[in-house]
Amino acid sequence: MQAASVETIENSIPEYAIRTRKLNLWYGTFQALFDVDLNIRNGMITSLIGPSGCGKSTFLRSVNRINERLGYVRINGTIDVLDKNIYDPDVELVQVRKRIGMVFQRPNPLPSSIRENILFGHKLHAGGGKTSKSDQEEIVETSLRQVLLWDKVKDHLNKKATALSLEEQQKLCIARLLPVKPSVLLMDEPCSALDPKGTAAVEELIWELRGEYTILIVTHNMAQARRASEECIFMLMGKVVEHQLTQDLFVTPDKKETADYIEGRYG
Amino acid sequence: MSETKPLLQSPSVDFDHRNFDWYVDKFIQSIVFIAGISAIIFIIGIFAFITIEGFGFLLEDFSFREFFLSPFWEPSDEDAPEYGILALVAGTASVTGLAMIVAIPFSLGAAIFIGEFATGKLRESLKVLVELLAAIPSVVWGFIGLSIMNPLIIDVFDVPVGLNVLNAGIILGLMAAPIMTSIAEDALKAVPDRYREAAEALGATRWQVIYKTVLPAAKNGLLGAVLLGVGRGFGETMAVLMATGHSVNIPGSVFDPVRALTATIAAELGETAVGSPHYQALFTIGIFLFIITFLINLTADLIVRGIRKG
Repeated sequence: MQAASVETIENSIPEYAIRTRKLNLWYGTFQALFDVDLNIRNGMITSLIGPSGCGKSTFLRSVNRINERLGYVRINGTIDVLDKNIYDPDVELVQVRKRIGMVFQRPNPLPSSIRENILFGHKLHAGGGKTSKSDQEEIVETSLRQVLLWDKVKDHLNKKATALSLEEQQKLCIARLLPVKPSVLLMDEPCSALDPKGTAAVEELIWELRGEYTILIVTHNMAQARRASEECIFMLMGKVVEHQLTQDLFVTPDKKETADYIEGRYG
Repeated sequence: MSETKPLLQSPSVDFDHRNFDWYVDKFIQSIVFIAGISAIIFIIGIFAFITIEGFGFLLEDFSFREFFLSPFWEPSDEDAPEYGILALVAGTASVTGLAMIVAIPFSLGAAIFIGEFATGKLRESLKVLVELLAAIPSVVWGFIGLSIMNPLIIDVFDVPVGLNVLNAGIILGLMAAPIMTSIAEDALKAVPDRYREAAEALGATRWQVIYKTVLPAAKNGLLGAVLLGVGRGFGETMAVLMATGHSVNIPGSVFDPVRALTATIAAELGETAVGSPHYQALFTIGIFLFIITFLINLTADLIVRGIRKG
């Protein structure tokens, strides 16, 4: 009886947004991920750190299956996103991408207007139905407000998105995910192309989105992981070494490899 | 130590010494320079030549009205020869227009398939195949028009003659398609992959990625590809000569035979007296063709270059 009620509560708000079991991944014959088991908490910001080539981006890119674009990627194991294995054969990629938004290392707004960028995902998923002009305007405004960009661009929504500064482009790339109403946001080194000011602004924005979305952020920048995430995962050579609260991982890491890495002995 | 000292001390190095390599270098540089500008010299030379040859006609017998607006090309009429190219322009334009209707879907489809869907060996072999198709001599295409398309059109459409706009348009369309495919594929390839990735990550299907993101981003290059096809159509001679039926006529339907500007020059130039008004009129058509194709190609080139720059 009690177990059942606990289960119903868990069903309404799952504790973990992403759970992986025995996730192995190969690029051709090269194995990039080894038995990755992770539980990523719902509504939290989790950062993934580790030296280049440790598999953190690979892991991130398998959560929305975008690395299947490469064609020579092979995966086994499971990734449950909100309790559904996204590698099940009945899963539609479009639905996966709708629930899981992604922000890339280099800001990649489409070469159309700011407005069109915001509405791109929305239009894709609106099916055949047309959204009225005023609804569209509202979507554009809400999304841009959420990323703190509205005041800057409201007078030139028809300007080319690629003409914005990199910081603004990256904010726009986050904004255009929001109308689709994703639950998970994946961010692949979202600040590495930005200057310190832009980095601070985007970090602040990510922090603002905490709670509303589950955010998984890959970063090269340990200070950023420390500042801008609640939990932190350290990976090395395709394996998860440690997964802790960020404050604990940086102060009292369990594993020697983690300690060596955060002290800068390698990587 | 003692061995390095003389080097350090040596006071008189002949810095103005020119060795053999210096002369070779200068020589090669001038050869390359001449080769580089030769293309420009030849183009100017050719233009000058056809202009000079056609000049007498332009000065004496040329009437702007007659030349561009008369549908009668009757240079061998002994009493009153007429030099109107309207019908010839209509012939060239109708054949080229139909060719584009044939070539655009084929080449765009092929470019999308090669550029966006095919991978690995399939893609490479298709590209080679397209290049090979582009290299088929135009007389072979003309032959196909004459001996395959001609009876086929007579059969299928129940018309008396199969050498007409339809025949030449299809042949020319197939001829222009490979080069257009090649250029269009380059245009698609020039679209940065991060646009595709962005659209795909937002949940676009393959087709949505292509028609909502890739095609709009590549539209200048694709337009350039079409213009190059049009340029090809205007300039093509042999296949058009063989497949159009070669009779001066403003076409009322695709089953009417026509005659093209280029084909007129090719067919008549050998039989005219050098320097005669007829000879000069043909050169004037040459000038006209030269200017048209030059403008089309220049526009296409500028458009294609435009996308390369960003």
